Amino acid sequence: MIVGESGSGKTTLCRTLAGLLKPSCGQIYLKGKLLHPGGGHERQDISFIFQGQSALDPQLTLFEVIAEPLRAQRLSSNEIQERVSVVCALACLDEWRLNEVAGELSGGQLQRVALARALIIQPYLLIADEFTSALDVLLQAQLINTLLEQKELGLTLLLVSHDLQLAHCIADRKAVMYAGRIVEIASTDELLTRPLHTYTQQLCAVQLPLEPLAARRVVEQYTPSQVILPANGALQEIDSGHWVFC
Amino acid sequence: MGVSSIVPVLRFDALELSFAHRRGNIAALRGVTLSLRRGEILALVGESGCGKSVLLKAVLCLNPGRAQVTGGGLYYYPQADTAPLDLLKLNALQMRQLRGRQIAAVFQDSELALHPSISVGEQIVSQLRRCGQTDKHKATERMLQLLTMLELPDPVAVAQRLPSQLSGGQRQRCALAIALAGEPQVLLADEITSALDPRARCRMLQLLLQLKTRQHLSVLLVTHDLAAAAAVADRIGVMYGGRLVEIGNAEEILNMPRHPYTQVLIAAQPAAAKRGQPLPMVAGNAPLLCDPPQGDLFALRDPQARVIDLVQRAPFFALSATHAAATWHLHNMLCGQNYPLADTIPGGPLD
Repeated sequence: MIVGESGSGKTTLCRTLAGLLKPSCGQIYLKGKLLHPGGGHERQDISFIFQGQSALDPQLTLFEVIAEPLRAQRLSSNEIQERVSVVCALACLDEWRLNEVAGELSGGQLQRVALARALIIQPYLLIADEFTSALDVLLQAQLINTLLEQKELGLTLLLVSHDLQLAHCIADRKAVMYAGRIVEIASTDELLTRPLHTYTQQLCAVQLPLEPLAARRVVEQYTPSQVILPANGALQEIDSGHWVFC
Repeated sequence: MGVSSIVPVLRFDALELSFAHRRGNIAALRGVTLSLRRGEILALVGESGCGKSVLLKAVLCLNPGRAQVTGGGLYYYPQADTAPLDLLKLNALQMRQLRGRQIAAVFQDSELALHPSISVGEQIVSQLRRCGQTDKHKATERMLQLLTMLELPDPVAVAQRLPSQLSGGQRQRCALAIALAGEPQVLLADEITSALDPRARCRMLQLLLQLKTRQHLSVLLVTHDLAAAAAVADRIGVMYGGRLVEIGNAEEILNMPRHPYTQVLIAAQPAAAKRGQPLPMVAGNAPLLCDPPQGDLFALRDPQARVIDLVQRAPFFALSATHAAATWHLHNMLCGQNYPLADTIPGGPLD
């Protein structure tokens, strides 16, 4: 899971992984194979969910939206029908809605459609950018639980969020981004108990607990400060699997 | 936290509001009784579509024209001991007099609240002059004072920038400066921290607390962020399906929630969830408010609900002098306790 504040480069990173942006330098590898910038067929087993609902064509019916990624696979209509039913069940999407037009749905429903569409190609890797940020907690719980079930079944997830607490409860590893760089990367437990980079420490310090007195203390004691990254720093492995930019 | 008095500054009295829609009327508010007390921060929490923003906008008549108040009352108390002003009976001119001077509002999207091609300093000055400050130099001075009070770094430089040249947190603070320009008694804050980063959010909440203690501002804070509400609010009201379902001190709501909706809302927060386990969840969607049943809409999603929950509206049972919840679960036939009805207690949770 990648966390960081707006402008830190999380979305740009996702868009680069998706092949929508060309990196000025550097390479991306998937399962050990080099991905060419913009090469669509190499990204066949990656699914993407982007933030915002504009990614779905508002004029198509939900069935068309969800089944669209299957077009390249030349399946029979029965198979397509079957797959759509399966992913609808996974994404808690009512099947009677499949004939509705995407433009008429609420934000929560649209994210369910986006999830169903992403799962239909049975991807190896799912990249979701601020997938639940615009949603209410109850809906977030439904969708995140679906993702976690898929993860148990072997799906690899790369999630992007600004919600550190959400990351705490679902991610195995977390990368913290700041000013276009990954400043720290470690297992969730390690980052929770021993954040080493100043920015990570600040980010952890402003998380509000649900206990009113403790939360009030966090707010009252907060002092803003600037984090400046060294110009020629690099990620260094401090501990096994725990990398810090310094 | 007994600093705030029980004297109300804003009172919603069984307020009902609906939107005309091509598929029938949408009952956005279905009888909300609630008071904002002088000098308190009252947070309203709930999912989107529960009516919390509609309630806030109803105060200043900011809802779109399709919205119509169909019942109840809405009162503003300019001074503690004078007769209240009936906000529903004001004409457009009187409402304009009130907006910004007595009651001000800040919204989630500061980008839309500010004019994109006028410097923020000029926008604050123009609001100051609209609110009676005729002297331009004094207005500029006051504008810088406001920016300093909101702890913007280098106020003189910030004042000359365009909204697009500021960060989200800075822009939100400029919008707040405009709201505070008229020295209002009441601040209506609609999701003002939702679009901000964790650090900027913390900063904004800190400012709200300072405004409350230093300026004795009464704040109605609408948010879906329960942790932010917990941090700053004296009282928290929980809304669902166009109704208030529970109200109490921050501690009471977060530590002893009694309405089933409040309970699942708190349990589903990532901050409350256990690591590595699925988030506690409840099936179903937020309710549609066309022709809603008389009872509690959450009963449709609550596995433990009884028939009465759906067919008859539950009264508010008072759990303490400050805490009340509207659910039949608290009726003495079902829980064995004799809780009094909250609306019979003067100065109780709903007053």
